Amino acid sequence: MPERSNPTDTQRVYRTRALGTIAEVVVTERGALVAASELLQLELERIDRVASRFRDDSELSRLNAAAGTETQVSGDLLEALQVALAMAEATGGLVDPTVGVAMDRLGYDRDFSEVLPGVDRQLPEPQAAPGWRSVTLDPERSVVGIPTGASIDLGATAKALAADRAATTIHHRLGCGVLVSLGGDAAVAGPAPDGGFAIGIADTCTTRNASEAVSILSGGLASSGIGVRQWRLGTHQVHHIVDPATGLPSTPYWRTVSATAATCVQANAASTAAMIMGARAVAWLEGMGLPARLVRVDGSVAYTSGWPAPESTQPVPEMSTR
Amino acid sequence: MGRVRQSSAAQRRHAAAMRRDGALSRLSSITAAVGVATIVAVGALGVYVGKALPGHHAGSTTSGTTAASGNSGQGASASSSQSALNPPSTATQSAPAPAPVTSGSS
Repeated sequence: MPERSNPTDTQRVYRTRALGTIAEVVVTERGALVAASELLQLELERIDRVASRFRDDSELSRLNAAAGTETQVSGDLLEALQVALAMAEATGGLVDPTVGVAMDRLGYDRDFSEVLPGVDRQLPEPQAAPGWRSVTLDPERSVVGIPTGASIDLGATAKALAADRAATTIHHRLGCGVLVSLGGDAAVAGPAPDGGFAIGIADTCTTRNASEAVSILSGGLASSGIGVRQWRLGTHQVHHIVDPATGLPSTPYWRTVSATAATCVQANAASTAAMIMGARAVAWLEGMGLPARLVRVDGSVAYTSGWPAPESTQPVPEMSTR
Repeated sequence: MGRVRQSSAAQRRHAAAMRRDGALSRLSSITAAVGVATIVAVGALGVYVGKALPGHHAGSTTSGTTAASGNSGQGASASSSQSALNPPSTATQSAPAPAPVTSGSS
C-alpha cells in the first residue's frame, strides 16, 4: 500500500514496500508520478520474479537447483548475473554472488521477516565461498553454469540494478527527471532539479528527517550497513554482509558506508566491499575517486574526497527542473 | 706488365662495385619487407582497437567474467556490467536536510 511522505513532497514522491524494504520514486514533474510509480512497480515485480532467492518459482531458484549443470537463462537473469560478476571482479572478489550457501548456513534462507526473530542453530565453521570465477557464463547462448553444491545470491547487486533500470526506464518513457530508491540504494536519470536530487544520509533507510543530506545530479548513491539485517544465530548476533573468504559475517569495523558512483550498482558494490574491507576501505575508495561517508561502529565518521561537508538542517526547498 | 696491372685493378674495382650493388640490393629488400610488415601490423592493430569496447574482452564463453551480450532489459544501464567502479560524472553536493528520501542500511 503506497504511503505519502511529508507535506513538501507529497505530489512528487511515491513510496511503497517491496523486496522486503521501502521503494520510492521521486519525479521532477507532478503529472508523471502515477505513470512513474506503475513503471517502478513493473520493475520490482520483474526483479523479484527473476532474482529472488526466497521464491521457489524464481528463475534464480531454478538455476541454483540445477547447480552442476548448464542452464539456459532469460536475458534478465543473464544481465543480473553479468552485473554481479562484474562487481565481483571490480571489488577483488569481496562482493561475490556465490555466497548463497554461506547465507543459508547462517540461517538467512528465507524472507528476512522470518529470520529476524532468531535462528536456532550454532555459528558454522568458516568455509570460503566457491568464488565468482567458478561461475561460467556464455552470453551468446544465454547459458550459465554454477558448480555442484554452489548457490547464487544476488542480494548484493540485484536491488541496485533494479534501481538503475527503473530510473532509466522512467526517464526514457516519461521524459522527466527521476530518482528511484530501493531500500536506500538510489539511482537518478534525466534532468535533475535545481541543486540535484537530495538524499538524506542515516544509519537506516527508514529514518525520516535525516539530519545530514547530499544531492546528486547523475549516477547513484548507495549505503550498506549492519544496522538493520542482523539476527541471533544460536548464541551469536550475526549480520547479512558476508565475507566470501570465510563464509561468515564480516568483522564489524564500519556501521554504515555510503558512496556515490557512476551507477547505483557501482555505488552499492563500493559500499558493500568497504564494509567487508574494514580500515583499508578509505584508501581504497580514495584510490578510485569515489565520494564516500563511512561511520565506524563507535559512531565516528570518515569521509573521502568529494563527499561534501554536512549542512545545517533547513527546510526542504521547492523543487524545480533545470 | 703494365697492362696486366691495369687489368687487375679494373677487375678489383668491378668486383667491389658488384659487392656494393649486391649489398644495396639486399638492404633495399630488407627495408621494403620491414615497411610492408609495419603497415600490416599497424592495420591489424587498428582493426583490433576499432572493435574494442571499454570494459569488455574478447571471447564468448567466460568463466566468472562479464562478456558483453545482447540485453533484453529495457531500462538497463549500459555501464552496469562493466567491471570497474567509476565516480559519478557530476559532483556530489551538500544539501539541506531533511530530504525526501533517505539512504542507509535496509
